[in-house]
Amino acid sequence: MEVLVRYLTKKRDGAIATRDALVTCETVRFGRSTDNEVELPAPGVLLHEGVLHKRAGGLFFEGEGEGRNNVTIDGQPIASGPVKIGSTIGVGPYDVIVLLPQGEAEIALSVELVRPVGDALTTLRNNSVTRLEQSAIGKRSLGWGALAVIVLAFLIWPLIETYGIGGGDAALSKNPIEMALETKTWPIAADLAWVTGPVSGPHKFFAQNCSFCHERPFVRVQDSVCTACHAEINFHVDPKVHDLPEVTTALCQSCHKEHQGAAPITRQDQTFCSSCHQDIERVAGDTKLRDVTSFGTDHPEFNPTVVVDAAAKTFARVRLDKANWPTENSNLTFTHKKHLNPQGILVPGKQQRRVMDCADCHTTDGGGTGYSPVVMEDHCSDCHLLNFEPTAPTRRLPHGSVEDVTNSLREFYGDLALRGGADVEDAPAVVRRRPGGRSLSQEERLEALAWADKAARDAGARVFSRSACGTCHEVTRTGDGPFDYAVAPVLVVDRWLPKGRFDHSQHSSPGCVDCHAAPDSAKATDVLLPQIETCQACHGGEAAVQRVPSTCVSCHDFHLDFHPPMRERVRNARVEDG
Amino acid sequence: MHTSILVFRNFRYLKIALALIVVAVLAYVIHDPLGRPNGGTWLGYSLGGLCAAIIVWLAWFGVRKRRYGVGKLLLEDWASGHVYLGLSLLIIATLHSGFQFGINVHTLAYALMVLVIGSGAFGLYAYMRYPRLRSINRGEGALGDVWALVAGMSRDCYEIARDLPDEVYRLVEDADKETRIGGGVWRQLSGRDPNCASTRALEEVRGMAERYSGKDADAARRLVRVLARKVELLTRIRKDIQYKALLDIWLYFHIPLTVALLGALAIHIFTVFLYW
Repeated sequence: MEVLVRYLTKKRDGAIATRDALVTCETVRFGRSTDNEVELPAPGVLLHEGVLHKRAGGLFFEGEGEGRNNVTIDGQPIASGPVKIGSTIGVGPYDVIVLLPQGEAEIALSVELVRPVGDALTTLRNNSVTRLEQSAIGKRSLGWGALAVIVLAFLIWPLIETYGIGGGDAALSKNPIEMALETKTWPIAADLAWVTGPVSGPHKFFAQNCSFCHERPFVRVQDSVCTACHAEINFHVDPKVHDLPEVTTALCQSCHKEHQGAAPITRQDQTFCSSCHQDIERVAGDTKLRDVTSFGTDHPEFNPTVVVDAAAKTFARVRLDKANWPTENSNLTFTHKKHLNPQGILVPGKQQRRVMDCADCHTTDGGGTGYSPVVMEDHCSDCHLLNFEPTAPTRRLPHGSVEDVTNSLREFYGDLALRGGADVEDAPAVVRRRPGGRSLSQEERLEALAWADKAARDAGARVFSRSACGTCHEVTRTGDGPFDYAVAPVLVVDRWLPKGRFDHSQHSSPGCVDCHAAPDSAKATDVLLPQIETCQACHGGEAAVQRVPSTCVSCHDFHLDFHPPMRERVRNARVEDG
Repeated sequence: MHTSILVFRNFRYLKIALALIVVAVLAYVIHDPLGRPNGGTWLGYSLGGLCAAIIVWLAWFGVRKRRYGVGKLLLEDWASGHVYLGLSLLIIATLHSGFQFGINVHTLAYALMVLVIGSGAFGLYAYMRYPRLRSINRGEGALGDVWALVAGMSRDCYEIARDLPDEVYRLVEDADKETRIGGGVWRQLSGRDPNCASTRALEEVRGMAERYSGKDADAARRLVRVLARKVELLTRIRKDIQYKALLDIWLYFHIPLTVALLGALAIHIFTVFLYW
C-alpha cells in the first residue's frame, strides 16, 4: 500500500515547511532509524517504536518492545490501540497525526517535532556550573558570618556576662574569697577568652575569675587588690626617708607581671637591684650600704651582726676581715675545738671517750632552713652533769640563777644534816647518825645546821668556780658573802646575716666544716661564718657560666619587714582620692 | 604583571619589608623586658601597633583595587606592598606575641592572620603558575569555540548512532544530556568528573563496537572516534575550569578570614585595655 508521510518543519519565522514522502509498504514502521517508513530521528526515539497496521476494522498501532513507554495514543499513555483519522500518535518529541488519505495513498500521516529536544550546546551549558561564585557561599557572606560568630563569642557575650549578668553590684557584694574560689569555665565565664597568658602558680586559685583583679574596665589593676591579701608586704625603703618613686610609688604590677605562666611573678633580675645598688650613694647619700653589682664578682664581704656586750644587749655589724676578725662576745666559755676532738671527749663517770659531731648540738629547726638554739638541758647536760656532792652523785643542780643554785645547795645540805645518815667524813656525829629515832635537841639541831651551812658554802665555792658553772660561764664575785656570785648574761645572735636568706637544708652536700671552721676554733668568741669567697666558689652572679647563677633575690628580700607596710600607701591614696 | 608585582620598582616593597623585619628582630634581641617577652612591654605595644597598621593597610587593598587612579600610589604599589608587607607580618607579629600562644582571642587573631597570609601566599602562587598553564591548556582556540565543538560532536553522535541499536543510542543521548562540566566547588577544583556520561559512553560503545559487524560496526567505530574527541575536549575544558577555580578559591579563604581577622584584632586590642 501507499503511505503519504508529510514532515512538517517549523521555520524560524513561524511558517511551516512541508516535505512529503510517499512510501510503499505492508505496514508502517515508526522509529529513529532510516529503515522506518516514518523516520523520527530525534533524541528520545528508539530505533523502532511501533508499527501501524491496516486491518479490517481500521488502523491499529502496535507498540514495540521498550518503546511502549514512549508512545501515547490521543494523549493516552498506551502503547497499542486502534487509531482513526485525526488520531495523534505521540512518539517521544514527535506527534504523528493520521490524516484523511488523498490520492493514491491509503494512509496519510503528518509528522511534526512538537516537543523541543534541546540544543546540545544549551543542554551542556545548562548542565554545567563553571564558576565558584555559582556553587560556593559568597565571600562576603562567609566573611560577615565569621565576623558575627567572633564578635558574639568573644566580645558581646563576654561583655554581657561580665558587666551584665554576672557583674556589677552582684559581684561587688560577694565575699572576695568565695568569689575567687567560685568554679568558672569557658564559655560561661566568657571573659576567659581574653586571658593573655596563664596566671602564675600562687594566683591560680582565682585564675578563673578575671574581675577578682580587673575591678574596673580600662583601669590598670590597682595595688589595693594586691594588698587585700598581701597585707604584710613592706616597702623596700622608707618613703618618708627616701624619695625614690620607682620603688615607693610604682604600682605593684609595674614589677610583678602577671599572666606570664609558670615564671616567678617576683622579679629575679639582677639589674633591677644593681640599677640603684651599683652606685647606692647616688640614690641614698647617707647609706652605709656598699655598692654591689653581682654576687659572683662584685659583692661586699659579709658584714655579720655580732654581740658586742651580752649584758647590755648591744650588737654591731662587723665586716669579716682576716686581719681583724669580729668577735662574738656571748659571755660563754666554750671551744668547738675541744668538743670536736677527733679522739673524742671524756664522758664523766663513764670512763670512756665520745666522738662528737656538729649534729649532737646543732639540730635543724622544723623546716631545715636554720638551726634551733643550743640548749643546756638538751645538748650539754649529758656530760655537764651539774652534780655537786660526791656522796649523792645523782643529785643535780638546776641550770638556773645564782639564787636558785644557792637555795638548792642550802636545801640539800640542810635536809641532809637534819635527817641524818650522811656518809660524809668530816661531818659531826649528829649528821652521821642513823636516821629516824628520837628528835634532835636544840644543840644538836644548831650543830647540824652549822655543818649544813658550811657544807653548802663549800659546795657553792666549788660549783661557781670552774668545776660547774665556771666551766662554761663567766662567774664573778660580787661581794664577800658566801654566795655573792654573778654569772655573766649569755647572748648569742640567732643569725649573723639577718638581711640575707640562707637555707641550710639546700646546702647539705658539703659538710658543715667545709664552710664553718669549727674544728680549729679554740675560742668561744670566734665568729665561724665563712667569708664570701667560700660562697663564691659555687655561686656566681646572674650570668654565671660555671657557677650556680644566683641573683640578688636568691638571698635577699626586696620587701623589708623593718620598713612600713605598703598597704599604708593604698590607704593614703584612698584618703587623697576621697 | 604577575611576576612584575614582585620585582616592582626594583623590589622596593621587599626592601621595606626586610628593613621592618631587621629592625623588629634587632629590637627584640636587644630588648630585655621584665618577665617573658610579651605584647605588653613598650616594644610589644610598638610591634603590635605596627602590625595593626600593616593589617589595616593590607585590608584596605580590597577597597583600593576597586577605585581606579585614586591616590599617589599605583595599584601595582599596593599589590607589591601587599605581598611583601603581608609576609613580613609573620615575623613581626610573632615577635609582638613574644612567642606566647594560648587558647584565647589573642591567639585567635594571630591564627587568623597566619591563615590569611597562608591563603594569600597560595593566591600569589596561583597567579604565578596557573594563568600560564591555563593558556597552554587552551591552545589556540578560545574556550567558547571548544564548547561549540563539544555540542557539535553531540549532534554528530546522534547522527552516527541513528541506525545503531538503542543501547548505543541511549548512551549517546546520555552523553549529550547528562554530561556536565564543573559543578560543585570540589568538582570544579578537581578538574575531573568521575561520572562523566561522555566518558562512560565512550568506554561502553568501544566495547559494544567489538561485538558489531557490518554497517553497525563501521558506525560504532566512527562513533567511538567522535566520542573520544569529545571526551578529550571535555578534559581540556575541565582543566580550564580547574585553573580558574584555583585562581579564585583562595579568595574564598583570604577575604572572609580577613574580615574575621579584623574583628578578632579589634577585640584583641579592645580587651587588653579593658582588662589592663
